[in-house]
Amino acid sequence: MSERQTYFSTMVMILIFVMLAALAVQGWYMLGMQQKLDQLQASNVETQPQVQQPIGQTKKNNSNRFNSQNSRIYDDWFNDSFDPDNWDPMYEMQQMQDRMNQIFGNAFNRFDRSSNFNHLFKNNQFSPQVDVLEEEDKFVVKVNLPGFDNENVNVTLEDQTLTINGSIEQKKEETDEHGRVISRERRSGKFNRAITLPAPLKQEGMTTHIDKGVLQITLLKK
Amino acid sequence: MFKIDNLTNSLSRTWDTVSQGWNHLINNTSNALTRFISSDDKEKADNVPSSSPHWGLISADLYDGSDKMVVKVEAPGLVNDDFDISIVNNILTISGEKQFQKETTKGEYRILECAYGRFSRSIPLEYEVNTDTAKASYDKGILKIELEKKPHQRRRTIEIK
Repeated sequence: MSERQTYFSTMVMILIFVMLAALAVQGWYMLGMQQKLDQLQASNVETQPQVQQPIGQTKKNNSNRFNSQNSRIYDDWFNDSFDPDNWDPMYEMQQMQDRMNQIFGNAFNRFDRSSNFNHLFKNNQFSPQVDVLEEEDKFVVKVNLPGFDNENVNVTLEDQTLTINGSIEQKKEETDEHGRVISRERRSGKFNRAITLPAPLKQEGMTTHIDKGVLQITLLKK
Repeated sequence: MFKIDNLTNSLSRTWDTVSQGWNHLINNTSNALTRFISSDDKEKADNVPSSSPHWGLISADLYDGSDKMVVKVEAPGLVNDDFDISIVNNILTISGEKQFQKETTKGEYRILECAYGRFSRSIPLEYEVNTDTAKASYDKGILKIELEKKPHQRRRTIEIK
């Protein structure tokens, strides 16, 4: 046997030992927890006001739990006394399956249900193109907003953040009852755009005007 | 396998949602996506910062009335003289040049998303139109072109008696 092979096999052995040790420690802790739980339950039963319930009946309930059809997804393993005679592996498997289905269902249904995901495509939010020019004493912001009026657009300045929002409805001005729309590429709906500018600004002295579909905003630097 | 079926079902549904959205987006914009070439005029071309995008959207709405067609094109920031509209072989071609306004003071562009330069978009028309009576107007960044259909192409509804 070459040196390398022995080295390899010893490594494997060490790994296996480590894993076994980990398993043993885990088992030990689990046993400890189980005992602690038992103790707690026992003390709970003692401290609880006396509810008259025959011991035999509770035991029956316990043993019935594995076969009962009310499928509780969360079964607290530690609290149940394990009864090998009544153990139904199929039931456990079924439980696990239910749990998995629930997880996958939750994870993937979210895409369908989530409004965040859908509105990307279904809600016509859009974001207009912006040019920002920084000059010595001011910023000039230009926004492409074809078809917009002063009333449609709302510009607010808060500290260094400029927020532009508004909405437009593409009205059907053609009142021809036999007419039809061949293509509609222009966007309608709401838009909202916030830009943080890289310098402190005077909160007053902002001028805005729309000309030929371009909104121009001038902001003075401090 | 129940679980795997569930998983594949959900995945394919998710994929459908995404691809449907993409298709919608592509259908809406692929025609509008237009290349902006830098101007012939050397001086004008030099004004445009190199970081400005070369592609922009020239979106158009087409409306087919019973005796005319209306085309509305979004082209903000141009003047009437910048446009050149022609109809050849039932194809409407709108070309123009979006001029870059050079600021008088020295400045630096922090964001540059609008495209500048020459562009041209062609829109095939379904009907023969009368080029002599075509009207075009430019307002609020929207170019509106009204084209009258030739009489034999007009739509008539036939009532059932």
